Amino acid sequence: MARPPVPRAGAAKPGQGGAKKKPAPAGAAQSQRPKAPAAGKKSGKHATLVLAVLAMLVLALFERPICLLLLLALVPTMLAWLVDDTPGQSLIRTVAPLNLASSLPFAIKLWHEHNSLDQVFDFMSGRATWIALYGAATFGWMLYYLAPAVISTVVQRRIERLRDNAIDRQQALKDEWGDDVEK
Amino acid sequence: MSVQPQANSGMSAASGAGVRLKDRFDIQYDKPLPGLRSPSAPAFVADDIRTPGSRHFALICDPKMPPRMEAIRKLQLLKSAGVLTPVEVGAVDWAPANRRMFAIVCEQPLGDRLAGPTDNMIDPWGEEALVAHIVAPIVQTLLDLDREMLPHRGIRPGNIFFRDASRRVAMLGDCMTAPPGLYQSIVYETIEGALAQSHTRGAGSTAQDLYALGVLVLHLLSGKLPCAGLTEEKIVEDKIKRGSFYALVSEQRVPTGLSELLRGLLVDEPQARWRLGDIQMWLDGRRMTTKQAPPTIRAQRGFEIEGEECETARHLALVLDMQQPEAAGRILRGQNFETWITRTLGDKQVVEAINTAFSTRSESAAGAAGQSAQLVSRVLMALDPPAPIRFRDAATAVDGIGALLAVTMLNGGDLMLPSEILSARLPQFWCLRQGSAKGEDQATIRFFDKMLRYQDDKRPGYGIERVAYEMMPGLHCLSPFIEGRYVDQMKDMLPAIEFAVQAKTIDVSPVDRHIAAFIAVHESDIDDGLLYTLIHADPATRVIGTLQLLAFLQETYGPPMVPSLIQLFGQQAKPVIERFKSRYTRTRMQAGLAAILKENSLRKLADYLDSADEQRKDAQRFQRARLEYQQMTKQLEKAEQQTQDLNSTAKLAGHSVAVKIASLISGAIVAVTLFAMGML
Repeated sequence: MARPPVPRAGAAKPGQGGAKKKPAPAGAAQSQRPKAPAAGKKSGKHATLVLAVLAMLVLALFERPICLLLLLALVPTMLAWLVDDTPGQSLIRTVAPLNLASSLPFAIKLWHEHNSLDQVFDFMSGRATWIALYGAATFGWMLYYLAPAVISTVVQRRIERLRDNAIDRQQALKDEWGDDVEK
Repeated sequence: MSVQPQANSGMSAASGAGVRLKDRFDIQYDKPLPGLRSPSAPAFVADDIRTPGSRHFALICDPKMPPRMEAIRKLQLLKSAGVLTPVEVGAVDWAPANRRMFAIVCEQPLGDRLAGPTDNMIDPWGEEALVAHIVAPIVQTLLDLDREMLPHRGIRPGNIFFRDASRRVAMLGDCMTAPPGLYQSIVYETIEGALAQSHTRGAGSTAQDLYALGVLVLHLLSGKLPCAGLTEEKIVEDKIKRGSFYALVSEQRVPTGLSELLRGLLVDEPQARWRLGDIQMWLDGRRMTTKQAPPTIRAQRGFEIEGEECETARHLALVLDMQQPEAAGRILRGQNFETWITRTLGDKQVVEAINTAFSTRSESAAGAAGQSAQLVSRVLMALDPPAPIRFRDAATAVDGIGALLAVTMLNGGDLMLPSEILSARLPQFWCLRQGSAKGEDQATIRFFDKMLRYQDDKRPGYGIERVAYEMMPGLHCLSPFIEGRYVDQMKDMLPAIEFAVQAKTIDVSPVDRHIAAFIAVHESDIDDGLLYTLIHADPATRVIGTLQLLAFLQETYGPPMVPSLIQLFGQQAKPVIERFKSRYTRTRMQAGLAAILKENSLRKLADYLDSADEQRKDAQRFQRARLEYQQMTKQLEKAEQQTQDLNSTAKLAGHSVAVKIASLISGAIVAVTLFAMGML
């Protein structure tokens, strides 16, 4: 959705003559702001999708087994693409590298050894393959959701420590100088 | 530890029933000398320990009567043999009165008194003996006194001694123990002195001594008091109507040889009265002519008040003074008075002075009645300029106002009267009425203007108390706390206060208005600002002000130890210590106070409690503490804001961290994979 043009200061609005315009409240301006990043985010996601689909199409043309392997292996990344609504696509950027990195050994092995669909299914029949592929992706998901909590806890503790110190110091000052020190 | 005030006043208790004055005279309580006493000062034997066998006696002054300190000082300098001269003076602990009293030690005259203090009938003296043994020595003494500008004001038979046992050389008695002229009979006083109250006659001048000498001659010639049997009012009236000479001589036969002297001495106009030089010439045998006094203006028709015909302005003033102020005011505002003054009496000077009296107005605390009394007083001064200031019940010479104030204070009288005399500027009006442009009148006017300013100033060190000490320089401090200690010098002040604190007479503030005024008069180095702090609203400032003042006294005059006073200030130190904002400073100061108190120094205590350095540090640290408190408040606000923003911030940061960790781990996996597969 396009942002309505913001009139320049002093510019006359139709029907208002040359009267001065009151500046828009800060809250009003802020309420419109998220729309622009949302559009950017969406276009970013679309670009990622387009790039991924193109890559997969190219891969499907020349390396069908690897393409299949990746289609199966990158399901967590695809899910991340679907649910990620963060401005910088943090979820995708967390899950995708791990997911891809864990798929890399299988893809290289496929490339160097038996580059066939049977080999792909052979990989997929092993439990270790799934653990390797989806374990890394799961770690990415966990990292995405746990990191803010960990940071929040650490920062919260630091803030509380500072606040406690400030309160203790204020109490000490009041003990020495009385209530007048507050004035 | 207690302090013996005697040690600080330079005296100590004598052995036996007595007290020692200034390490020299032992004054014996139990050895009175009735023959040497003054009317208000009993006499006691005083033994000189430096010169055993010498004959001294001490006059113990009535504490309700201020002694003449100026006379004492001048007599000590003069050392005349013709007048009772103080050898040593000072306050002593007088056990019979259970207080300190002022003692004057003099050498005992060899001869006795001319007559008993109350004897009006005495043996008549012959003309030659009177001149040789009485008049000549007294004139010589008056010449000595006149050089010091010191009128004796106590010439009467009961106050004359003889220097020798053979009664051949008279000497004047006590003139120190009471205000000038206090015990003079009306007969011995000039008209002006007789019109004043006995204690407010003022020192006057030698002219008044010469008048008394004239009366003394008349008294000794006949052996009986002139005008004996007449009331005081009648004597004054006679003197005014007939003139002193005729009123006093009356039917008495005056020897021709002394007639000239008496006429010269008993002239009522001071400027026409004989002077000492005239008497000396007369004694040398020269014939003197009587000076012509300006004629008294008499009205052709008298002004009648209640049956009394007044022919002169002075007589009219006397009769008006006998009226109630309201009645006198009505008379003065009446048409008859104006007509009599302007047309019948016709004295231009009196008319002008009365006009001035009517046009001069001052506020009065008593309202219209007070203003009416002031008007009457001014008109009386206009009618009779040399007469004393007569206002309501008071009649005082200008130089007797100090005595009026002091005696009123000493006897617990109403101070409104002397206060209103000053407020109404009656002394200034009196000076202007004297018709002389002499510098002394102008100086007197300026002095009373200053006294009025002092009186109107209600701060400690000023007020009516300051006026009393300014006008009576020898007056001892009349503070109820220390009056009994008879403090007439600054060095006795602190010991007296210490004594009062010890006796629990003082339990709060040791400096009251009297003490402040006394210090202000006697110690010019004291800053007024220090005195003002004595009534400061802040109790701590009051305590510090008092402490600083007394510390100054201790430094300047001693004594070194004032334990009770120190303890009193120790008890009052709490509000002073509470001035410090820091609790730790207060605790530290409270803890250190005991050690300071033990040092017994008011200066050290004052410096400890009123340390400018400590106060500055406390104030600076308090400012820093306030700033720090504000910083802490801001820090708390910031922490609160951070807590509110924590979720969103942590989410952003966490996701960013997650991306980075994922990138790192992914990189590591790729590297390991490539390495393991031999691709690196």
